[in-house]
Amino acid sequence: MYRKFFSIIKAGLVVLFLLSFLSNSFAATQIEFWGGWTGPDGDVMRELVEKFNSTHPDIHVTLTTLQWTPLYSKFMTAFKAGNAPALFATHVQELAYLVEAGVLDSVTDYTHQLGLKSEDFAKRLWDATFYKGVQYGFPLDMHMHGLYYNITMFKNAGLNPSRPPATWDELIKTATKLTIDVNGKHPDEAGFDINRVKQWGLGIPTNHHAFYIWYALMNQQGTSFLTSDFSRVSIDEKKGVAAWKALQDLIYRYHVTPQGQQSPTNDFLNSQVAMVIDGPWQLPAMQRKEGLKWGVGVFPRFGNTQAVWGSGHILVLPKGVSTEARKAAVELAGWIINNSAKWAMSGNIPAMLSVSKSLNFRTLPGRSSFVSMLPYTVFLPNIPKSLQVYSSVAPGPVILAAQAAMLKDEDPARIIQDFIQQVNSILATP
Amino acid sequence: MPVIPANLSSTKSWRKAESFAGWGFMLPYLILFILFRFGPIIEGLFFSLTRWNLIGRPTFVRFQNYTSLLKDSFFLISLRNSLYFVVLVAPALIIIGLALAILVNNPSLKGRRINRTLIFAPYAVMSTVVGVIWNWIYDKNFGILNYYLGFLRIGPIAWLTEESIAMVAVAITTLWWTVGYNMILFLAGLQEIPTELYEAALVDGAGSWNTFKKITLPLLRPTTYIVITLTLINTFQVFDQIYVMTGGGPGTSTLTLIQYMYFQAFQNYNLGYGAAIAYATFIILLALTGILQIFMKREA
Amino acid sequence: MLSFRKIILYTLMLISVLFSILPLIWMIVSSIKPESQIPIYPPRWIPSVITWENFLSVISKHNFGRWMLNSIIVAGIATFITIFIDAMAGYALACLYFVGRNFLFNLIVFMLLVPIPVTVIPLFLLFSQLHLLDTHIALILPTTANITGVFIMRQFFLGIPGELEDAARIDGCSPFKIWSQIVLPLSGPSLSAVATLTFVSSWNNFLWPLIAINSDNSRTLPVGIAQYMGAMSGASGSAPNYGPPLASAVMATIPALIVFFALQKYFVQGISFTGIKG
Repeated sequence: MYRKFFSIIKAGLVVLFLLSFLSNSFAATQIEFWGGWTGPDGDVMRELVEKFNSTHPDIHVTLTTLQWTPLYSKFMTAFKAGNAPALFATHVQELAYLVEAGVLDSVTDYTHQLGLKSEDFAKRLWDATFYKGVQYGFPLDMHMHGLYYNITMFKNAGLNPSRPPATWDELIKTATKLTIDVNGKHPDEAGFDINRVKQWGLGIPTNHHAFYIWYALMNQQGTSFLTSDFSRVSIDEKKGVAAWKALQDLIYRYHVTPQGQQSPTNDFLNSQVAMVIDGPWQLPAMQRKEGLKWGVGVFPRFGNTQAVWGSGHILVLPKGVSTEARKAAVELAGWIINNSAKWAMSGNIPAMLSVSKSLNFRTLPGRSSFVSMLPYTVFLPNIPKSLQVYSSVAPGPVILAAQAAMLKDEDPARIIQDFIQQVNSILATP
Repeated sequence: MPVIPANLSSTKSWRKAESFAGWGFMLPYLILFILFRFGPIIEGLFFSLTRWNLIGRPTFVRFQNYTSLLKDSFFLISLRNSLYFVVLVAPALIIIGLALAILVNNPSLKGRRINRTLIFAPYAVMSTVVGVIWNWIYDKNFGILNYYLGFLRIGPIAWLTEESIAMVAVAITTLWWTVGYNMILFLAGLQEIPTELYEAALVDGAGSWNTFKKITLPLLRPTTYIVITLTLINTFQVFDQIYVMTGGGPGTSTLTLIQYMYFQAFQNYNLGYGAAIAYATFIILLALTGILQIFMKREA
Repeated sequence: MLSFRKIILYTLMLISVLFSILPLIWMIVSSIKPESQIPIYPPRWIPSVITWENFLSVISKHNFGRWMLNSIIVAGIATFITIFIDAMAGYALACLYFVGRNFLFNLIVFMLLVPIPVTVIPLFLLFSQLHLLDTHIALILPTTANITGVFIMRQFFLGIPGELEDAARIDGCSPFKIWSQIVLPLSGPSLSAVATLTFVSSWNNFLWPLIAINSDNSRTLPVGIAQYMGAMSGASGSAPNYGPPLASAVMATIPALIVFFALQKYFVQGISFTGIKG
């Protein structure tokens, strides 16, 4: 009796083992392409990759999308094991880290090969693909913060929907008119009940993106947070405090932003919030939401100059891949960049000028405001310790500062002190 | 395996055969255990004495990582948070687990089997899914929890974005996720208590509370011992739920030891330092279980 | 009529069951709603429109079937191996005397105190050197080095009446024969317990498969579905999507629940702590 039982089990095991060796056909060059696009933008990239695969029968690309943070963890271990993807997507501020870790090959030869020239691309992004004078990445797109607003709510409040607020003062005034409690009162009126608000005026992120807004406000005041050689933290305390206060006041003084918002953009999509600061990657979700009439304005001006936080995706070539894989990866990179118009559907602004300047692109809903901000978009300093300093996971200094400000209404001077101390200690360790 | 002939009365040969068989039976498990559990643990210990970023080569730094830990305010915060989490959740997991087991063991209630299964079901759910569900439930503005609390005029509570509440939110989720496991363990223990004892107590006229105190609890001791120890170990080493729900935030309010270890080892690629955090956790847990053992032995 | 006491007990039971399954029901109900209707407020339990688009979207856009197959293979093989080696080891630790037996058992259980994440990088290096990364073997083997299973089996074997074995011994049976023909057939419930726990643990494992597996074809479910999960928790930088994460959450949980429901009948009997057969 046992014999029969065991032989069935054995047969089952053999079948299972054989099944485990299933794999795709080996005829084409197989390469891996990794990026952190986990929402509808990931779907757009997936479509692009499928199109590439169907038009390039000798190459088969597998796209892996994982949230950026675990993606980097995975990338480093994969590299160590000699299994790095042939093509990898990264952000401009992370380039230094990857180059210093010794995992990237320069792309200079390949840009010549693909015919990519600096004049064809948005200058800031092209320049950002260089580190220490060598080009390490192919420029793909840029993205920055913009101000989404609800047209219906504007109209209901008697505001002009073609004129979203452009300065910080206008932002506060507009948001106040758009914050309504269940009795129809606004925050600047007596009897305003903060616990029973029906509609909030403005939503701002409470995660690392709050820090990015602070960074923009600092740049608008003409300053940053690192010394010009990126070696140390250097913050003009007065301006730093003013920038944090500007954000905190929205919640704690003007009461136009709810405290403890988990997902401001979801609140906006659900018509609970009239305006929200977020990036162009939300455009597909905005377009999909039935019944939502929305527009996009530029990031409001707080200081003397215009500046807005932004970043950009660049495609990089990890070391240690085979020659065929490298060839395929380069071909893929070039193809994607030349098909930037299609990538634009993800919401990101293609770096290729011919696309971002084209009429087709500019008439896509919401794009024009983002494009107009290209000239004054500032990137985070590209430092070798970027993954540690800019980490969006506790206890990274950026996320701690952002949450202390937004969730706890911490004293800005204290926030800056802690931030300086934490970042300096990261920069100091070898 | 040697076959011992029936007429062999020599105990010595039997002992040798038994010893041989013993090692033989152990071997398959032992090999896997040493290669894939024990070995890596020792290697991790070695890493904790180095500084290493994975790509380069490790540099031996002796106990520097450990001395740095003592001065690391985030380490101390994470230690405090881990202890807080244990205090918050372990008693509930144990007591409610026991209560549920008693409830589900009650022969006069119908539908015990299905209820037992349903209460244990969350245990089969993976951490990613737990995160999806509970991030959703806890959303301050449109999670269903706050929606219903709103009817009771409570809230809205910022479950995952308020520092003083986030750990409690994680504790509730942990209770939901794992109380079924404790319930099952207690249930197994309860079912080993001979029913005749209960019948005798009933005949003697003992009330249910007395029965519980004098019969159930003492006979449940081995089970209770195991449940308390396992619960302590699991809650002190909590990671999965924190990772998918709060990532250690808001601020550092849910930054536990293992979450901090993950941050150092897999985000910052300070592998040596991360390993040191893990071993510090081990040492502290060792001390805690030691204290627990002394306490429980004294109760005996 | 139910006594007052019974009413209280039933109420408590109802509350516990609801607490346990309502979140799961919420997940299932949300997964069959169209995307735009999921993040609505006030929340609705009964969908106004039922759609399978989320499920179809996951299956068509991703390698979901492949991930599911990988998870089944890995969990299945790991469970199969584990119940046998644990049954053997448990028996040895309970019934066969050898020098160092107690020390060995204590050492094994002791390792529970070491946080598992610390083994991830050493395991990674080991499999990397063996060129076994990205294989099912890399995922199966570490799972088999579990501890609770050995503990449970040992406990069970401790509870087997000695007379049974003595009789067999006098009859001239070798330890292996005693184990395989007399003792093991009795251990169904305990094996079920170990099988359930091992299967579920392997099914749900995230951190190690994240590091060990690169190619999408070899991925297991938890890592596979994480590819579009991040967007849901509101972390900006990528747009939110609700349907696919919920649909895949439902699909990913079902197999583990099936194994679980099938085996849990024996589960409770299979775990014994006192060794007294009640």
